[in-house]
Amino acid sequence: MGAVVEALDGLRRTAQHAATRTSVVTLVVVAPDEARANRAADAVKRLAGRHPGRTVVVVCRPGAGAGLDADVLLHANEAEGRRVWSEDVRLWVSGPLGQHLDSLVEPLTLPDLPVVVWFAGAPPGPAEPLLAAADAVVVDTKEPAEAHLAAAAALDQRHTVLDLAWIRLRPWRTTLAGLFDVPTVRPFLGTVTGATVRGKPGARLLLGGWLVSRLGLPASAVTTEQARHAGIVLEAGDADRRALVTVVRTGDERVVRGRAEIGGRAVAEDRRALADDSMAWSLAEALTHLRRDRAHAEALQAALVLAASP
Amino acid sequence: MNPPDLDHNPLLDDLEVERRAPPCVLVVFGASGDLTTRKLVPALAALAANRRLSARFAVVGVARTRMSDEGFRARILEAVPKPSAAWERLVEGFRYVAGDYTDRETFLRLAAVLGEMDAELGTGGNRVHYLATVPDVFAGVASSLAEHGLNGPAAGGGFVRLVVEKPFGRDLPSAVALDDQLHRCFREEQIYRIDHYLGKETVQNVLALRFANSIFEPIWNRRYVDHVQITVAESLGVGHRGGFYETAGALRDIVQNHVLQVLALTVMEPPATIDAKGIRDEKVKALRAVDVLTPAEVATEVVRSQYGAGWVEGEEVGGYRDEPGVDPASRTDTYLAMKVRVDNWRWAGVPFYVRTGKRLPKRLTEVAMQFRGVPHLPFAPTDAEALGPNALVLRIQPDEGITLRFGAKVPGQAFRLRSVSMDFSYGAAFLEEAPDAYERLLLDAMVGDPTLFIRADEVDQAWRVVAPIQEAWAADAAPLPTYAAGTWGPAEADRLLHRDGRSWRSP
Repeated sequence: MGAVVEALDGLRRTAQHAATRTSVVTLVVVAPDEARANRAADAVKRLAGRHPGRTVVVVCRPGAGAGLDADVLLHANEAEGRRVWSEDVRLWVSGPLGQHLDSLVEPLTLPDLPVVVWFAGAPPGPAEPLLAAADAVVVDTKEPAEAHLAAAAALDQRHTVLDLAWIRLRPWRTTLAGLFDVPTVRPFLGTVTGATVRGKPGARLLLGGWLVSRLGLPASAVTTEQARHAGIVLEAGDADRRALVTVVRTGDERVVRGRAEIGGRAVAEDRRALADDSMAWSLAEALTHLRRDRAHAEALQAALVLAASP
Repeated sequence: MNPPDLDHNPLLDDLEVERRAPPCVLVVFGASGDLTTRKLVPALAALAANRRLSARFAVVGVARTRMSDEGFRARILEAVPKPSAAWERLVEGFRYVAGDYTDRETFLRLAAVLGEMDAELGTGGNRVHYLATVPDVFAGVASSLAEHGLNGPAAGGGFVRLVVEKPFGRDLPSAVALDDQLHRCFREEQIYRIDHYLGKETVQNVLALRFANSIFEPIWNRRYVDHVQITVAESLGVGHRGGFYETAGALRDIVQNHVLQVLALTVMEPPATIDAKGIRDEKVKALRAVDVLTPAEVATEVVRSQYGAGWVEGEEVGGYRDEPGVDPASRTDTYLAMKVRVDNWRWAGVPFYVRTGKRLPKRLTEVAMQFRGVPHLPFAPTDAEALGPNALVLRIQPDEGITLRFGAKVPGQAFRLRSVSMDFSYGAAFLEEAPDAYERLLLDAMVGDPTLFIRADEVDQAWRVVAPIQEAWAADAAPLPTYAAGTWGPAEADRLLHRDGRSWRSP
């Protein structure tokens, strides 16, 4: 590992970049294979210099024999008209070294800056040694959702967990919350009788868990349905006056549309554009807000209850 | 159905923004003017898009221009190219009152409209009156508001505030008179005087840099600082505002407010708390320590000038006196440079060189603190030829950030030294977009946080510094030096520093 650090220093000298770097984070990506490592590394590059620092991508290779290969790279991004340099290190690890990633990563962390560890495959178990070095853990509770959600919930007990799947759902949550900010719709917030959440397993369980934990709904009031895109349908009110509040994404549109109807008449609408690059956007959001999200933690617990419900 | 509880939306819990305005009506006097459409409306729209405005927020525009409510709403919507749905929803509740500010009917109608809004929209009797008008009508509008009971909360209401744009008077006597008149109608804690510089993130960052870090405070004084240069440079000319600028000049338009505010933040003592009273008390104390110049000192320590024709940013431009609305024999200062002394224990003997002007080579605002040299340089003089003094530069605009210049060894066999710069740029370190200054200030006015607004005694102190210069100039008929547009000012400004063995930075 000393050779890797020397190589990084050497790159800076030979590239004549004597100017100091602006670094805000050490991002460690642990990927189970090359494909996921490449996708993660591309997403980091697409942050376009907003969170410059050092990225260490660890690719776990199959094989029993101990092996370590490394590659180091300096790259520049234009940000606000200035060149911002970031450092990329890729480590290919095999054999027993895979159980001691912390010893490989520690020498590469930038001093005095947060260390964020992104598990680009499944969330780790609580005994993962690398967790001890992490100021925050990034996961993506996509599929298989229930296992990932359970792992994330366990991690959340002791670590700051940033779930990209949860962050990607923010436009839906913000749209729904905003519809209930409309004065004529607000009274129905306390009279929600049922919710249908749609989407892929992880998304619909997280959304359902969010509604249960925020609105105090019983799990039995939430129906989940498989769908291509996430969507929320809330029914509220009483026999005299019913409200229907929906947040949906249709087709290939990169737009989330919200609508509130009272008595069958539309009273509020909203639309929110989705980021073209949702992976880079959600990663950027995660790195910006390096703090525990209480609503996420509660939604996770409620999502597990929903997942276990018949 | 029960009245809605609009105070807590649990779906917003983790999405909750840290500051949100309470229900209120923003009454904008001068609503048909440039400031409203160019600055206030876009700022309000941004606040709405970021969910920082209450669902029970509305605007009432007041101006002489004849317009219906619908016409006003259309004008508001035109001022924002891509309005959010939240903004469009809010605009539906906006109203307009056309009338003369001297006409009682105007204020009777305004009072009626405000009452209707409280009933229909639930704005709760809270008002922020924003004077986006010419200064001449400030006092009259304030008096009319008081006369019609609009200077205090309505029954059950929480607050009424008055926001006043600069300039606060033309000189010390007029500033005092204006304040007297405002104070007859509003309490000081209701009055929010805007200097939009204080709404800039980077100006606020001066406080963060100085008071959140232990490493700078020990050297932030006369023992280590050789001098400070404050530059507020604009590349633009006066444009179509020549008529207004003829009544202002650089001293009134920039030095009396923006420059002295930045100076105050740079020289002030650490406050016990970062709140309105804590910060403003220390700013006033700092301004009180600024030495007032005698007429003889004005002649030697202050340079005023006017831009002539030249080239700026690749474009050939005319001189100030050729601008529309400007007297061909004008003596208005478009440039000012001066040496300021701050007479207290921390800064005695440290000169503060200030310069501001129009049609300078580029637009920038910075505070550059240059430090004294080491007491003894043990290196060979030939090895240290390229070594300059340490400097800490606060870049306020553009490319907001901080630069620290220090000496380092040039790699190689010899022991040569040169200066290098370490840069922190906001744009490269933070994803969050800084709010526009008006977004910040409008929200603060509605929330009721006066920290970034100017208190009456600050205005007095700023005029105290500027007044002797105005008086000396009034008695001085000597020709004004000029500088070519696109240069950093007249030779007289260079001599101001050369006399002290110093020179202006090239920012």
